[in-house]
Amino acid sequence: MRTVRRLRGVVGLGLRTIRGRAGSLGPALAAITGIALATFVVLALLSARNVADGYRDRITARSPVESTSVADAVFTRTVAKVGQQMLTVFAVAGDTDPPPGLDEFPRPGQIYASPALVDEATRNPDLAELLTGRDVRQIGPIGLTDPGELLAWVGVDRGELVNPSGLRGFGTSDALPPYLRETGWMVFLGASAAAVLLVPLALIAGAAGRVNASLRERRLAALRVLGLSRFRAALIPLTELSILAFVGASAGAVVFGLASGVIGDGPVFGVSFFPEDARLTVSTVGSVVAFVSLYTVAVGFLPTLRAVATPTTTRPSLAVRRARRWPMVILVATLLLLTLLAALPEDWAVAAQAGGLYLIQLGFVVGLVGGLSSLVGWVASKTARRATRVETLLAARRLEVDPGSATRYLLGLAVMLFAVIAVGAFLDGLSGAPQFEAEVRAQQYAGGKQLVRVEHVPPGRDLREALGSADVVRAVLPVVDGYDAASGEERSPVLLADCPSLRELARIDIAACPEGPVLIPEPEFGGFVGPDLPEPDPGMSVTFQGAGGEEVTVIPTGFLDLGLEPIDVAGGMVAVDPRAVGIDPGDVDAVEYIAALDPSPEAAERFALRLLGAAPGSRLFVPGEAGISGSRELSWVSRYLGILLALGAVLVFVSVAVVGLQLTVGRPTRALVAIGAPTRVLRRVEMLILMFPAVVGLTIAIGGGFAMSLAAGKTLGVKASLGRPLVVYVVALGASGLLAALGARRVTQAGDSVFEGED
Amino acid sequence: MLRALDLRFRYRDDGLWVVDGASLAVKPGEAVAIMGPSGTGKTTLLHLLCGLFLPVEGEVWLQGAQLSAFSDRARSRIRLERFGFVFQFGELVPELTVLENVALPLMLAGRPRREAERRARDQLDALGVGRYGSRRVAEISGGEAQRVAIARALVHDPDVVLADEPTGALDEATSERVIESLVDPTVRGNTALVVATHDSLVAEAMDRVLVLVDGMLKER
Ligand SMILES: Nc1ncnc2c1ncn2[C@@H]1O[C@H](COP(=O)(O)OP(=O)(O)O)[C@@H](O)[C@H]1O
Ligand SMILES: [Mg+2]
Repeated sequence: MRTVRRLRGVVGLGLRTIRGRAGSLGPALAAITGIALATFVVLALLSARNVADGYRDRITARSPVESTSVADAVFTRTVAKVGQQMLTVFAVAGDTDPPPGLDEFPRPGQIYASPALVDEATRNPDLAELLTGRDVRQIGPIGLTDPGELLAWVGVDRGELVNPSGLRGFGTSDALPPYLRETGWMVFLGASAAAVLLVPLALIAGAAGRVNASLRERRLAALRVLGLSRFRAALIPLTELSILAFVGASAGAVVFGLASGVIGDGPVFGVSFFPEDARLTVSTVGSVVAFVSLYTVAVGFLPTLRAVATPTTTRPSLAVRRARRWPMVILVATLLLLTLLAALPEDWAVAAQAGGLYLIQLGFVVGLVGGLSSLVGWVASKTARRATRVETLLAARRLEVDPGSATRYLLGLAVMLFAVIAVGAFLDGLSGAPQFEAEVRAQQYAGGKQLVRVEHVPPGRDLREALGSADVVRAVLPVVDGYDAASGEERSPVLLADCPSLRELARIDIAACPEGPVLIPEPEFGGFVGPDLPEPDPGMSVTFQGAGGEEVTVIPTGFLDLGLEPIDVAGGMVAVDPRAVGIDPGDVDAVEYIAALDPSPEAAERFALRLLGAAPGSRLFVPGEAGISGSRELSWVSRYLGILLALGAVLVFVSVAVVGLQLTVGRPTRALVAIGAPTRVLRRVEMLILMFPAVVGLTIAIGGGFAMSLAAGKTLGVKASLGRPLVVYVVALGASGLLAALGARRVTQAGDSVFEGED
Repeated sequence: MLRALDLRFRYRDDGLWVVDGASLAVKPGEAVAIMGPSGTGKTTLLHLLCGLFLPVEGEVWLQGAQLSAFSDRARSRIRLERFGFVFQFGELVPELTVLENVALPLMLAGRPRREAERRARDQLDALGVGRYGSRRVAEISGGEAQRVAIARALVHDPDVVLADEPTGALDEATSERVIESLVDPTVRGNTALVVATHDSLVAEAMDRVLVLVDGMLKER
């Protein structure tokens, strides 16, 4: 009972001291801003996770379950790119229960389109082809991943589907993109996000606690002289800290609530979602506020207690303390481990990490937080001994005895950098991986050409006309089946093309085509042309059905290298000038075409949309398709990461900088100003004090981050790339330089007031 | 060497005059005490004498040069090169070693570290604290720290050393040693000394004692 009353007295004292500190509102506001921002980010992250979960559930619910046996309905799935967005088209035939969001199973001539698709079609004539001439209906929200999704279910005749799959209901996670199925990277992102958030928050809390304590250290000292225990004395700044924490966290929650009200269904940074997916329950929000408040007070407790025990005014007794060894050991050990994992051969590395990678990541962050300042102190001590300039000497000696204060600003930045580099290099690697766009693109446009292959059923010539009319199409050439006349065995596809058309197709310059039918060698596929023998087999002949149903037999007379890639053609081909064998290519009913397009992604996009409009059940082989299917999620993830990092950066800058700067600068420079040290020198000292740990810390952080992403990439067979992370490194160094300059500016102010209000 | 005439100073435009018509002249090598109880304006006066504050009225001359005629930067330079300071709590830079502390004014003035440290070592030896060179400030006693501070104040051969309550935080026996170091003419040479103090022990050791009363300096 008495304790309670005493505690209440102390709390009351804390409250009163807050009111009486108009001059020190800056750090308090900064702390509140930082805590609010952190709360906001936590809520936004949880909400983003909900959105991701909703997204996954919705895809799962509407994904067709494939049936291997005969089914009542069949489908094909086509993915195409519309600008920055992705279009998914299911072509379906038959009769069964409709997918979610549709009131009935689409019949031939019907199309169910998402509202965003209908809307987009008014702006995009290529996309409009899909809707024109069809009975257009809308897909309801439960059938969509998000309001912005471009999705269509098109009803067709069974005979119009190329290689359809049997349809046995809906609701399977098989169709999820690998990014949504493989969740390891999500844990990785989550852990990085936590590091990005919790570390700066701890720093803010610690700094706020220290500032609170030192702002009234005299009063606290007096109270302690009067017999208040250290713990009780610490309760005063702690009360203050908990009020700051609670106010900050609540403010963050309120702002989040307002923001989600304003945003509604987005899009936020290009990501749209259904508001009900993003919604957080009141208890979740409450728990987050409680967690952030408690966490802040918990992590601010020790620094506050320490600040009360050794107020800054008694600092002249500063001595070189022996640095704690274990955090440095952890830091160095985890860095070595990461490097080792990054260097190990792939299968070893995968086996070695097996979940332990995240532990190592955690260890590295712990080591960074706990050991970086010791490391900085150690390097500083070595530097001080050799310094010849007075600035370097002063900076190095200060860092030697008190590496913590200066390193603290940096820590948030360093941890963040570690996360950015780790995730960024990984993502860069991911998007640069062979199955992704970049590399495929290079191959796609080799020789200024872009070839796509189309398969469609039933054989018909109207498709060719529909496609040929697009201005990005240079040539559309039919491919017909060739066979061996005697045995009837499939022999080789026959491409109907005259010499000018072949030139459109070829990726290398063709001076002149040989007379008559030619063989287009394709080492990977040609059964009859070996790499060492690029000459047609003299005994070879191919027979195919002519336009009038008659059999046409051709014997290749020469060979023509078109420089085609395996992906461009189905196999070694025989090219036949149709006029030479008396065929009008316009009359040919083919199931396969090869089209030469303008070498641009837009051309491929437009072609794909036209094709979808003309024959939704056809199949298009575009090099780089894998890139298309993965790019949406990937870009969301990068965006998410970008936002997170931007917020994290703001968090670090706003709070740690402002709160922290309040501390380091000022007192230690007093004696120097008094003996007439030029402001210029003091500024440089201050710059050095801030930049020195920046160089040490950020270098370690980037090293660790890169090793981490190399190691993490091995589980997914992705090789991290160092390009963009290096930019981040430079930017981070620049940012800390800016911080340093800001800090150094304060020195002058401290100098001006050095004799005021003291003694 | 150092001359001040009719100095007036107050912290706020509407405040009381802390220094109100103080005048003073100090000759080379002379040791002068400024006495007065706490709060009478001794520290303020010292700050006026070294150009850290500019008087509202009156003027300070060092070697015939008017301090207020210089820019703030130039006055910093003058403080660095022509003044030495000893403060009540030493105000040594805690993170530096004793030797580095003493070498500091020279290094700040642009002397190379080796030369600065050599001269600093000589100065420390002259004051009998040479053996503490490599220690940190926290590792020496208050009296020793004060003698190191005196070494720092003298190392660059300033015209004037200003000392503010140099013995304020010391016991009597230690004070005596510090006072001895301060007044020792062989150590100080031509440097003049102005000591603000309320300690009569210090005052007695000086050549001349002035008392600060109502903002004015009076001979005792
Ligand atoms: N920065 C300041 N602002 C306002 N008043 C001050 C300031 N510094 C000192 N004073 C006042 O000026 C008077 C003289 O102070 P000071 O020069 O420190 O005296 P002493 O050194 O003799 O103890 C005191 O009344 C003190 O309160
Ligand atoms: Mg005083």
